[in-house]
Amino acid sequence: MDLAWGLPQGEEEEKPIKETGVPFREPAPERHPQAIPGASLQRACRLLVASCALNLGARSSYYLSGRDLSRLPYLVGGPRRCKPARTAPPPSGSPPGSRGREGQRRRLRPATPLPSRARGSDASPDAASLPGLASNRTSAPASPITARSLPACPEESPLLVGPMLIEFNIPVDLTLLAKQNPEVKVGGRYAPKDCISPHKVAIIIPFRNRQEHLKYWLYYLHPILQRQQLDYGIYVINQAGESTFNRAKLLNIGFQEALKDYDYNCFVFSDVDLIPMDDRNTYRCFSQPRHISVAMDKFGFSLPYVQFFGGVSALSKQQFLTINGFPNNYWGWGGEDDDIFNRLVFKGMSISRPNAVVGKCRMIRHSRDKKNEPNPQRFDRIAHTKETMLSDGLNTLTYKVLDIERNPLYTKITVDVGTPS
Amino acid sequence: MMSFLSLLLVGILFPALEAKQFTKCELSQVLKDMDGYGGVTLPEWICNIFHVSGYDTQTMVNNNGKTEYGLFQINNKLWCRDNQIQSRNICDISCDKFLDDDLTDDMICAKKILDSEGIDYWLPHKPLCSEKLEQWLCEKL
Repeated sequence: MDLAWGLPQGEEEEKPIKETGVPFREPAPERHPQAIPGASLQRACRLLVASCALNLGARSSYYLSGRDLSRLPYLVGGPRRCKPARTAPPPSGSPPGSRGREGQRRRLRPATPLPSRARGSDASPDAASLPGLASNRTSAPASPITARSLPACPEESPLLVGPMLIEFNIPVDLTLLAKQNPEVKVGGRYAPKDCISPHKVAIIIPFRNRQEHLKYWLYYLHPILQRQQLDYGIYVINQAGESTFNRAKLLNIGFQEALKDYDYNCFVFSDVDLIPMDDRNTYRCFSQPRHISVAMDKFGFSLPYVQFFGGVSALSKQQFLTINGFPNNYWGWGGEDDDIFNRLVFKGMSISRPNAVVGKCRMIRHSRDKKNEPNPQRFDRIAHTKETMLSDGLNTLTYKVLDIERNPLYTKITVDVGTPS
Repeated sequence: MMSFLSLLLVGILFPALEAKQFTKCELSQVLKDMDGYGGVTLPEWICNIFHVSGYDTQTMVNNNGKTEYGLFQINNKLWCRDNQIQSRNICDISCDKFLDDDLTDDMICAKKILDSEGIDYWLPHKPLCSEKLEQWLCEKL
């Protein structure tokens, strides 16, 4: 401590002693850094704050440089009411035909006279195995059965807004969301009121243990799909049990099950964690198989490779049947979308895509799911699509429906898909 | 004071030494010297790497009793050693060295694999990396 005062050792004895008897001490020279206690700590703190500010500044400018500020997002991708609400049909007093399940689930309302629309195949392996289930298979009315003749909906919807802000930090309440989308009927069904849409779309979502993602999907997609003036239904196909996930088989099942409700002519297959950022990216079918999720944020808003067909795609009923549907033997992550791409190519079809601006999508980031590890066989399998597509697909599809939930915003079908053979 | 400063600098630099998600062009730059080695062009390498690891150095996949590490998905049965199974460890290296963003050791081992097993060690090659290779070129280089 003595040295801090800077006096060389040898000089101490020479300090003059004043009359007071107190040894005279020279004032400490100014240049000593520790003259003020904690100065070095102060400097270190300043340095830390400065480097943090620099870090933050660099990150902010990098982030903002990627923003297109000329299109300020005036619409958060939430529900929007364009017209005054119509008087909704009075809800039935008590749910009919209780099956003793949890109260949250909405039952069907068979009271409304349903149009006798042509349904899909009546004979299905699942209906027989579950007593009482078949009788509840009715479709919610897509449009009123009056003799009123509505015009066809325009080629491009006038309700579209273009780019939207998509965020995943807002909590979603499904009960509130249903209230915000009053035109959506039970089971997640909607049809435009003022025009007839040629697009009868079943949206099939493969699912297991992703309820939080599903809530975001419904929150963003229902308003978008309504603005796109589609006649649509939402089908969440839930794989029961804990064995390895099989995405493509769930999609096959969704195709088959949705057709029992309504004569859909178009099928959109969407992962539950993908949200479009521009509502001009229409969730409908085209003359060629449609790839919808072409510019995912995960891949830097570009196509990871030209043969990529994963994420969200749309096939017409005819296109789907032509390729014998999807493969049932891809267990685990990866490859099934490449197999589907191969099937389409072998049947002489090509992929239709929106441009990379309209096709921007956000993916909800998440850790790898358990029981959906990368499939080690995937590369070998996709090398043999040509041979296997005839014997692995819709024509060899077997499964068991365990449950059907008609929720306000979606139909959830829980299925047993079996295990890898 | 100095020790604090050096600690601070290490703290800032530490993330830079961690695992990395490459872009196509970054990877093309780093792997330049592999172009043509063993008759395999750079776009073929980039394509295979994308399909086995998605350009993510931290990729670790269990696969029929083996574990594959890193960008090139090098396995612990023949090529590197980990504490899981007995390995021939031909590349004489700890497998977790393939999980960092220094690709020098990955490239050396990948070349050895190519010499020994050929490009078909990398399974995407036949179905996905035999054609349409222009898409794997980095336009900026």
